[in-house]
Amino acid sequence: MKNKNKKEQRMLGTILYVLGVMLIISGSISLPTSLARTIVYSMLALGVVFVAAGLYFNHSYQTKLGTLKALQYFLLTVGAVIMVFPFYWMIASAFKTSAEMNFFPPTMFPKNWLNFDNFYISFETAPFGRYFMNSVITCLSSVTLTTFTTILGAFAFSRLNFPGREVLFSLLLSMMMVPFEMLVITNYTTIVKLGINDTLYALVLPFTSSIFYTYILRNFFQSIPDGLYWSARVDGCNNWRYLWKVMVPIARPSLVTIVLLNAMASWNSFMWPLLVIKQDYNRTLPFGLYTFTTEVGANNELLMAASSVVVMPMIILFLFARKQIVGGVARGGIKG
Amino acid sequence: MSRQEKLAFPIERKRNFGIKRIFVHVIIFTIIFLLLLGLGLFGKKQLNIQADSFRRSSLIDSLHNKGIADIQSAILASVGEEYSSVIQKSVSSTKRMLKKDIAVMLDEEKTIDEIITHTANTIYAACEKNVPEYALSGIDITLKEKLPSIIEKMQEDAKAHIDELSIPEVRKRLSVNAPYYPLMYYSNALIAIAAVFLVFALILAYCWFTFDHDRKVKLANILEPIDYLLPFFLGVFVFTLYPIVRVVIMSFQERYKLDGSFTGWGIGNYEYVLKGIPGTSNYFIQGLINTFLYVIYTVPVSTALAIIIAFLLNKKLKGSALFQTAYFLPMVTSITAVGLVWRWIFNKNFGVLNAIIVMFSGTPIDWLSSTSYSMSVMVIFGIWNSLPFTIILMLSGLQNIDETYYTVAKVDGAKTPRIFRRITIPLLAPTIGLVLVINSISAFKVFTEVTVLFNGSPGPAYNMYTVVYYIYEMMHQRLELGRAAAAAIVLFFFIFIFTMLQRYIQRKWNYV
Repeated sequence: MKNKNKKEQRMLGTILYVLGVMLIISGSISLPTSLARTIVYSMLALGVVFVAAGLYFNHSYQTKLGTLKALQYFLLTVGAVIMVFPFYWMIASAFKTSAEMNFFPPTMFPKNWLNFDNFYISFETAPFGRYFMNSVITCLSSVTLTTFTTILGAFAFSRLNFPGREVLFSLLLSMMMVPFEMLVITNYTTIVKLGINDTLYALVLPFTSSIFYTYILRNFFQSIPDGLYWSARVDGCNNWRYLWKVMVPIARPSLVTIVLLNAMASWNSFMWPLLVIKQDYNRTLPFGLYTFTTEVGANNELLMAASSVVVMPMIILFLFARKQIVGGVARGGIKG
Repeated sequence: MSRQEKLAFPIERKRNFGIKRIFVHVIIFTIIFLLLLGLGLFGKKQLNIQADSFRRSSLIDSLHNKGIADIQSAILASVGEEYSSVIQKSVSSTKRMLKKDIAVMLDEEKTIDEIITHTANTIYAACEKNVPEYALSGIDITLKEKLPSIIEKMQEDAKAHIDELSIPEVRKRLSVNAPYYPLMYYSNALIAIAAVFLVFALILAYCWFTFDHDRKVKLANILEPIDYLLPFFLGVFVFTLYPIVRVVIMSFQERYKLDGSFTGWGIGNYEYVLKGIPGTSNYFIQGLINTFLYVIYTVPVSTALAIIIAFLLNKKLKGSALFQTAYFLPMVTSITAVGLVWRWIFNKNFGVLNAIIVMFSGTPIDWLSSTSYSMSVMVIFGIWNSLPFTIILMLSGLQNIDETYYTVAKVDGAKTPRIFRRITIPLLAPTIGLVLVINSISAFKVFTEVTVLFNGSPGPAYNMYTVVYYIYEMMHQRLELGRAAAAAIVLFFFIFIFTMLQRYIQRKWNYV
């Protein structure tokens, strides 16, 4: 008798559960439609109640685990959609015509996914090719110079012995907490006095040596065992060759992180170009994009096309080097 | 050399290279010395040329303006009042032509005597046409009488001009946009640095020729770390250490401008920044309040969201790589570009956000141009933007927690919410504290968000100033570098507090 009762309860629970899930699904599908709001909301609420009741009557492990998993996936998906939506919206808007842009409520998809007119028009209106080249030149030279000085500096601080090494390094570390916004004022006057404002040199020179990257690399260099160094020395390898033939290849993961972080910072930097660059043909992509907004006015489809061009290289870089970037940020973020 | 030989005398080979370093230094220092000396001398030469041209133009000005004025007043004194306007007219008609004449005559290295005489003659000729003859004779006589005294006066004047424009004075007056400006401005410094390099080169050369082998090795060992650190420290000195010192000094130079002028020493900059002009709204205090509010709204919310998301991501569900990519995307993309996208999302008439609000039967909101929503816009964008970084830090914090805690808890039959509350959160506490502090520091520096979202103005009605925006505006638009420096110091004060908090947390929990 008791057993039969339990079985019936379980059946009831399963039915309620399935019903609830169906109600939730149909409710969320009918959300964007013009169905009366009260009906939609009550469908959703009823669905939640049914699922809860179903779980109460049929509390088997599988159902619970499944519900939990589904809930987790649901939460993660909602969050992910919110995070990615602006990027989707940017690309979708870039392919819309100006008439399509002025629909309300806006359409989710452009009518023609191969409508590249906006890209052509924005490249004609503003010299985005030039901006792109400027960004690439600045980024590459900044990364090269910074990596070079960082490798040498980190090597000296980790491997070479000289009096006052630790004191000097802790002094450098304490300099790290001074925000760039405070240094910007004097750097601006320095750049102007050197007569290189409004050139690409001004975008590269102030960032040639970074205490932060040196700190990361020094920590890695210090983890390389001493035995390697002394055996290399006995084999007749001098410091310079040891650095480039042994240490740098071993430290490749750290170096990749540094290069990626540096490239990102250089590509996305906005305040500094805004200060030192005036002429149109010296602007980098973010700054050029910013001035482009005043040129196009209300033509948001052009703006979105241009934004896509600015954002794309970094997204591609991220898709290929996600692990290194995330690892670098995780390692560096605490100190930065 | 065979391999065996190589291994037989490794120390000797290394030592030989070490010594060569000294000689290489001597050569490089000499080259740098010659280079800098050349640049410095070139700058000096340019400075002299510039000084000559300054002197010439000021001489022309004085001869032209004062000379003509003197001659005119002399003429006016000799004739009746009825002709004064006629004479003035005729003088002014010749003025433009005379300036050219003076410049040409100066180029031909004529004396001031000749130039003034020529000027007087030209003016007399001009007067001849307009003034009747009986007045002319009077003019002629007075001119002849007064001309020597005018010439004498002008000669003294010219001398004074040349004396006044000494080289330091010219250096101060140089325009920043002049070609070779840095070379001219720093010519003395360049020569001084060159001299220092020469001294170094000489000392090292002396060591190279007199030291014995062991001392040479010692010297080379001292030089080696310096070589490695030099490129790094060059940048650190010029663009980090010097600015730190300079900005503190600058904040006490009242109304310091880009050209180096300031009205005096004192705390005037701080007073201006903190008090503003009485009777007008003080944008710095407004910026400070806005920044604080922004930090208070953004940081806790994004940290709380990040904990939940990181917890879910850390469960290693299927497709977690895909989710990670989605969540971390905003971190790598330019705030400028993404900010423009958000502006489009926030659009009043055709924006997605308003479409969603309408879908839930609300009324559309004028996000970007209504002052009451400015802060909400900033906070929504700020949370979205800072979430990836926060999630990453949380994830690494979660991954640092020992797996065995979870295993033991599961064996004891604890459920997920309980595990989350009793194990994850307490063990994550140091990370959470650290993330709060780090996020606050970066939220304190909010600038790009304001600029991009509100299209280059601080909010729709100048209501969204932030501290860094204030600094930027002071520096770039109003060119008041001293006041910007004072504001930056105040910003640093707050960031310093948070940094100390961060250090404290790191030390207490022995983190990293």
